[in-house]
Amino acid sequence: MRKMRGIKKIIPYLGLIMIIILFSALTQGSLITFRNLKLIFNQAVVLIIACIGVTFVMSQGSLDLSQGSLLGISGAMAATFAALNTTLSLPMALLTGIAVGLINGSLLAFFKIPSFIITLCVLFILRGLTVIATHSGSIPIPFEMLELDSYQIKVPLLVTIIVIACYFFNYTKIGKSMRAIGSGEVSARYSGVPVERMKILAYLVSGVLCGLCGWLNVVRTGAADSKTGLLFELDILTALVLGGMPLTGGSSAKFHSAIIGGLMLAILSNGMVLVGIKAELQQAVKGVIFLLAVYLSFERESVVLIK
Amino acid sequence: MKTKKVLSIVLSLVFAFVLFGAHMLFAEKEEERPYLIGVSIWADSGPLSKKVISNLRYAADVLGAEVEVAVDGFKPDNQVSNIENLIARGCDAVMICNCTDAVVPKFVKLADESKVPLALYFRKINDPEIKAYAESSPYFIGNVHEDEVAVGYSLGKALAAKGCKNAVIINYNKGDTTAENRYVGYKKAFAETGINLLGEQWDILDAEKAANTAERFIAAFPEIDAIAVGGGGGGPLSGTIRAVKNHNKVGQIHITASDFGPDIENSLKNQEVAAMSGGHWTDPFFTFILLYNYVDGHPLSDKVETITMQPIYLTSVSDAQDYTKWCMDEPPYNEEEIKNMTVKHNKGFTLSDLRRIAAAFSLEDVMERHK
Amino acid sequence: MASTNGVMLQEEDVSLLRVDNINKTFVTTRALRDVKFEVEEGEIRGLVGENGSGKSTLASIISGIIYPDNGEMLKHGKSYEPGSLLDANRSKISIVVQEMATIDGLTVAANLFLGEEKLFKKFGFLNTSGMNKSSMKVLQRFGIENIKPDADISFLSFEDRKLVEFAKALYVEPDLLIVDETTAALSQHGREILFREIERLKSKNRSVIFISHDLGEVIEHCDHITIMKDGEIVDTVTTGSLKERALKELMVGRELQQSYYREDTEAFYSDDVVLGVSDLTLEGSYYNISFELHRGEVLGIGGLTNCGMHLLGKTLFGLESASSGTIEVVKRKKVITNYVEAIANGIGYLPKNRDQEGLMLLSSIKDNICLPSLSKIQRNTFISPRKERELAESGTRQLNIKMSSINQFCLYLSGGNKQKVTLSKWLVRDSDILILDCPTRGIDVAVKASIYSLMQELKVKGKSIIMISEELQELIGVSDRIIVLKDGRIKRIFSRRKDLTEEEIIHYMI
Ligand SMILES: Nc1ncnc2c1ncn2[C@@H]1O[C@H](COP(=O)(O)OP(=O)(O)OP(=O)(O)O)[C@@H](O)[C@H]1O
Ligand SMILES: [Mg+2]
Repeated sequence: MRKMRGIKKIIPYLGLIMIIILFSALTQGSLITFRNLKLIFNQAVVLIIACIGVTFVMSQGSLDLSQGSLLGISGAMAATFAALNTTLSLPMALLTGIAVGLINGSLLAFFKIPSFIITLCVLFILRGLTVIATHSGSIPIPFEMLELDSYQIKVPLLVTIIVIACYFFNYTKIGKSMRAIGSGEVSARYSGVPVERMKILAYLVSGVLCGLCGWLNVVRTGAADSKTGLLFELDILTALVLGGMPLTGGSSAKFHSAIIGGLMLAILSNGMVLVGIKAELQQAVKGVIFLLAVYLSFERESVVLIK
Repeated sequence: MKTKKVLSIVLSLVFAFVLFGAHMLFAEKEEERPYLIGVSIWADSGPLSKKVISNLRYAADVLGAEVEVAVDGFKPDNQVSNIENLIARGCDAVMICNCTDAVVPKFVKLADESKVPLALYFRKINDPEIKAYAESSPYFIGNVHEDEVAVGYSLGKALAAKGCKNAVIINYNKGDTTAENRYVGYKKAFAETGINLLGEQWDILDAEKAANTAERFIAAFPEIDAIAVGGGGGGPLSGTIRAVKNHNKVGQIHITASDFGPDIENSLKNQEVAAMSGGHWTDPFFTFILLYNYVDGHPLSDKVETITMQPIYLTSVSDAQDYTKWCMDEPPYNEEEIKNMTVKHNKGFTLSDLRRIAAAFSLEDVMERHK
Repeated sequence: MASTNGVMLQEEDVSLLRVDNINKTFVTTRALRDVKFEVEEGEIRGLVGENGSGKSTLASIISGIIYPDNGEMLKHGKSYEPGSLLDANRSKISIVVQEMATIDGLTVAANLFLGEEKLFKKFGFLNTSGMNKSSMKVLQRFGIENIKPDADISFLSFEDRKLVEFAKALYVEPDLLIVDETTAALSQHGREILFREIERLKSKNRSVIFISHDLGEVIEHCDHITIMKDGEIVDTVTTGSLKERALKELMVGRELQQSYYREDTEAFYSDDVVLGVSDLTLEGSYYNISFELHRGEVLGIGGLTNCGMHLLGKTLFGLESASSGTIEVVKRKKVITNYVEAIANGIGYLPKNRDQEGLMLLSSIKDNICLPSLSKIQRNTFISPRKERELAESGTRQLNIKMSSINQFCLYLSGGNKQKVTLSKWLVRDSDILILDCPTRGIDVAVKASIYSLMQELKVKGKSIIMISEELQELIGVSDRIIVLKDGRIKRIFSRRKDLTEEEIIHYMI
């Protein structure tokens, strides 16, 4: 049993290394050229940041499926307000994220509806709003904002977020309380964890980071589109599960899942494109890998439903 | 505890080796290789995209070049990623059918940064600001597009010729330049010929949605006698036909469509479709020729160029038979003709030659050249 | 059963159950070593031993829940290798486990017939009303018809859930019933039902293995008693005239002090009031509860299990909100309205339902112990892993928790050791006021003694304790005052005195 758990712990790392080796070989090395690595980083930044946010939610044993549309609507808000004044775009995206996080968290904490249902509904609602906000087309941003899409901004930003989030997740009362909720909500409450407050906080973190992602994404593509972020929530979920995050959350939720998983998915997607696998097949491959990851990481002792 | 630490150190070392050691092993090889043209396309299934790809592959074969296809699903983030990926893959030039004007500046920026030429197919930039921005770039080569307003206009006229009075439009993405322009053309024709536009629905990209939408329209407006399908690569057309058939309204409701469906001949024969425009899968081919000449060191122009072409219109069964015979079963331009469109094989070839060839493209043109 | 010598011999050969050289190791813990064990027909066998000595492990192996590493079992002389609990049930062996085994969200009837639904299948559909009817019959037979078959089991009290499990185990009509540490969860009434049924089994020449830490109870009801220690069987004795004290010593392996309750016979505490409760009412549960808790006082609360005392405990900790009345931490002039405030004001609470409310089973011992104390060990939001480890180690040392490391999941602890972890997290937090609901449930005599002396120590240090308990002896043994509740109202408050008897208290309870 214990041995199994030991192996489970390193599966994500092994998976990452295997994927790198596999695709390096298949692409005769073009996967790991400096240029391509930069590219992978660029494509993974948004995913990793969003995964970090959702890590807090999943550590409580809940899910956040609203992320795809949140990416869309926060991007649309950013682009809309950028037209008035470029400095407004980032705050607006973050505010959108905060608002959605608060709504998700409060609904979960006070109405006790399962999180995947709440966030799925929010996903649909926000997608509708995104289509309205973009007039079911797309909104361009001022050209000069394209300059913000640079490594000089993204690298320090990502590092800062990782350090701060990792600190809070592993070394503070907040992170520990959240994992306690995942391990057992009732007993966490009986040990004094303010469960409702923690739930709202987790969705707040997830929301604000996704808002940031929405902005980063708009700056990257130069436009907010009605389709922006479609299926992004599934990418996040896949990445986290690939990174070893248990769906039930709790004490075995690890922070590194967000980073390892995000990188793995980014490399996988990039690698499959480089190798020239057909688009439909790429989806199928991702699905199979997702299933495999869930199977490997599933804790059979904790057959608890997702809260 | 200790073993865990040791293990993690070993793992990081392996990781570092894999990243950098292997990098050295596989260091980028600088050797002679064929030109590689990257193509980002919305899908690699469906009649239109399949034909585009196979036609490009054929041209590349003839010229000893290669094409690299990446699928973007018409999503902005994917399109940007595709361009990045294609450039990283070592493409000498990239072409894309952009999903909206708004993403073009980013493409241009990527092209500038990596000094890789970029061109658009099926598209014209409507937004004047974005157009100006793109044209200021040394690596934006140009675009090829159909006169989509004319397409909508001609098909609208064809409906009027059938005596239609009450029409609806089923179109694909709002904000998409092509879709918007066809819509404008239809409206112009409707206004001139006194057809009422009863309703319109956007964002229809597949057969299912198109069928549902058409059914709803037929139910809501019993007087309906025309459905204009704006495009979407053939799927929406077949869905619309299915809906009309279900209601036994074939012959009473006339359909026009851009982008040919899968079974052109029968749909014309059974009067399921009044008129169709299509065959514009040759458009990316001209973009390809522009890029090929540029990459080969003989740019056809030092300015940003826009090439306009006409689609093929089909209104009768014999049209459809000819189209299948001369354009589908055989390439519309043969080996020699393709080679002659490159400066490499044909010293005197110029941009105006290319423009002329593109403008002349039609069913008659192909038949005349190959008969 | 009258029998000649010859038949006796033959019976020896084909004892009901024979366990031979069974070994079981969990990763590093050797839970059972070469266990040999026999149960005869028509006997009630006691199984006692310290926490973590392997009783539950042995019981689980016999009932097919886990598999032994090696060794064999014979039932009626024939090889017996149960692959699962259902398998064991088919061989007429059933068990009431130590932990909670009913499934939340299912009805009582569905829990009763879990795994046997096919009895009620009609054309592929579950005949719910048929199942409810049969359940009603089963419940009636055991005299617990107050439990409704169609009720969701999660709304039942802890005791009632245990009784449902018991009914389920009996429904199998077992040759051998194992009862693992169940009485600790039951009130007097529940115990009566349990022992009545056990005696009934015995009269039908069926057998029972009875596991309990209440040695008096074991001596009273069992014919023979098997004693385990560190995974081995130390001895099996015939009950006869065995005294509780002798049994204790056999179990612990050394001599014990005369009594493990406190020595003094008079109430002794400071005049300072630390917690003032006035006019607390929770409709349908308890009414007009007022009392004062003093510094250095152990205040016992006793009564029948449904007298409202368990909910009162939760209310005092801010987990339930009362319909009216106030709870005030006097020193800080703070009225408690929720559990976060309660903890912040130095109140700790040990719930009765250990596995669901007391512990995060899939977290480490360390995480469990540290959780309430995080705000105490943090420095500017930072919680150092070293401090956590130290805290957990001091807690586990204090209560002598039997574990492989502080990183072990609580799921893999023995029942008594789980209880110690729950207690430990409030001890390490150094709470001023401890509300303990059945604190010694499932704890062995030696540890019980140390918990009582620990309570004494805390008392001397000026801490205050509210102890809710269904064991009158315990209440009398350690409390300064005892509040007796009946139907949610305070009937009487006893002060500690030498000649206080159980009878006196019971008189006010019922
Ligand atoms: N699944 C498991 N994994 C690891 N260790 C276990 C597991 N189950 C039990 N143990 C260990 O085996 C030993 C015996 O446990 P067991 O539950 O049989 O004790 P017990 O005699 O029933 O104790 P108690 O009186 O506290 O209920 C304990 O040290 C316990 O920690
Ligand atoms: Mg036990």
